[in-house]
Amino acid sequence: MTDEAQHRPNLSRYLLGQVSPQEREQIEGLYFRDDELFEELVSAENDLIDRYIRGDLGETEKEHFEAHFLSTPERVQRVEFARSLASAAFAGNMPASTRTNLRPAISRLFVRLAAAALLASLIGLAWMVVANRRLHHQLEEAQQGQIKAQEETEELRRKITDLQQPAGASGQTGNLPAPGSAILSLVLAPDLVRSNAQQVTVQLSPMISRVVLLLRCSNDNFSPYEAVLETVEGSQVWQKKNLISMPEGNEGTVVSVDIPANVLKRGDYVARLLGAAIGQKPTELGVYSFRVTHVTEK
Amino acid sequence: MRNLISPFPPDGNESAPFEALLRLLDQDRELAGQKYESLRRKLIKFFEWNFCFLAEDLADETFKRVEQKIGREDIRDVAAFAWGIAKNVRQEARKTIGRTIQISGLTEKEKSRADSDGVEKTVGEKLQRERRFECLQLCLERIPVNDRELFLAYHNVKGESLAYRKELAKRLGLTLGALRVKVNRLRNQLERCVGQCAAARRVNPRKIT
Repeated sequence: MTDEAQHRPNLSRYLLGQVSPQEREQIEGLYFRDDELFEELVSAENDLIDRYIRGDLGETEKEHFEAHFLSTPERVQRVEFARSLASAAFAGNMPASTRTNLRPAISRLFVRLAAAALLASLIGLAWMVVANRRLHHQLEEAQQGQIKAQEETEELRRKITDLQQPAGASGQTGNLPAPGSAILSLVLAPDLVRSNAQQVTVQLSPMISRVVLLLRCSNDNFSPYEAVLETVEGSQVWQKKNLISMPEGNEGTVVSVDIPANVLKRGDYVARLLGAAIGQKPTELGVYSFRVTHVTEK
Repeated sequence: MRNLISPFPPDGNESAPFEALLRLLDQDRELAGQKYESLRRKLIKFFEWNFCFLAEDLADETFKRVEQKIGREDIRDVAAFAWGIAKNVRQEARKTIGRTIQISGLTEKEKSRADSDGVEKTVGEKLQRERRFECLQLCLERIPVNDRELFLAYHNVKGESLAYRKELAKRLGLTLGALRVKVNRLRNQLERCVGQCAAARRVNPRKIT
């Protein structure tokens, strides 16, 4: 970047032919290498011509200008152009189409930017409205799905409650497996709790693959539990450890014992429920007796 | 002046050295063309600022001699090399000027004869100025509105105020140098336009260009 204030006097002297040959050589070498200095010289030449037209040159400068600068027809034409420009610009004699209010280009750019910003805002607003409607619809669908899931949960609970019918006091037999069902479940109360101590009978058919005993237990402080299945003679036929309890409605807990049906031959059985507090030996929490028959029997 | 746009060179014999000059300026043809125009502009101004007639012809002569040197001399800096040749061309041109009698060299008797038609000269000058003014209006209408407003804004102040030009450049988002380049080229373009228009009107005063 050239120092304009420093170069200006030399540039005017160069243009008027007032520099020494050495100065001329130096300036010319510079502007052949430096485009910015060259443009500065061209601008200085234009300014010199305009100052001459306006009569702003000193006497010496004016003499040099007329003696040297106007020495070629091309330069004379340039001075005449400047004279036309000066008379037009300062006298306000420009045609209507050129006599425009001078707005900086940056103001027009600002207007264009503002218009673009407004358009972008409108587009953004429209997008937000569409997205909002889409989200609202999705929310409604999700809420309806949740309601449906709750209804299905309630239905399943009702089914579970239906399946958990007491079988001890009236000597009712365990639930017969539904046609096509492979699992038979029944709730057993401890023998000591049963009012009439009538035998619970489990009828097995070839379709049943498992029997789930839901052993009622008044105390759920011994989790995990252990179940031992014995014949009435005392022979152990099956055992399962690490059983957990689950709530049975509002009336205590049950421990679910899943027994393979092929373990249960025809006969009388006793299921013992054991539980152990932390650091203690297992203790017997309840005894549950039942009879197993097979549907082919009378 | 050579037409860089046309694919067909004006003279097949000239194309090879000119192409060699362009390649020397830059491998990219478009950039080479820009550098050629920039250098040509500098050479024209060099001759003008050294008070030489027909500066454009002298610039073309300089380029012609540069082309002749390509391949024979190691040219690393085309601009500096061209400047060196231009100085020689300037010397030759000055010798030609010295052999031309300036009007200021006329005797008083010869001067008075040349100046005898003072009234006619004044009327002629007045007509020429009016013609130039009309041409300036036409030429200003030809350039884009933004450029026209920029040009008038730059010149719409008495005295070349550096502070005003810096402010104008800042408002337009330009550096002072970029503003200067733009205005210089617009002025050059308008000067050529007005010159051609005025010359055409001298031949046919009714012709509007």
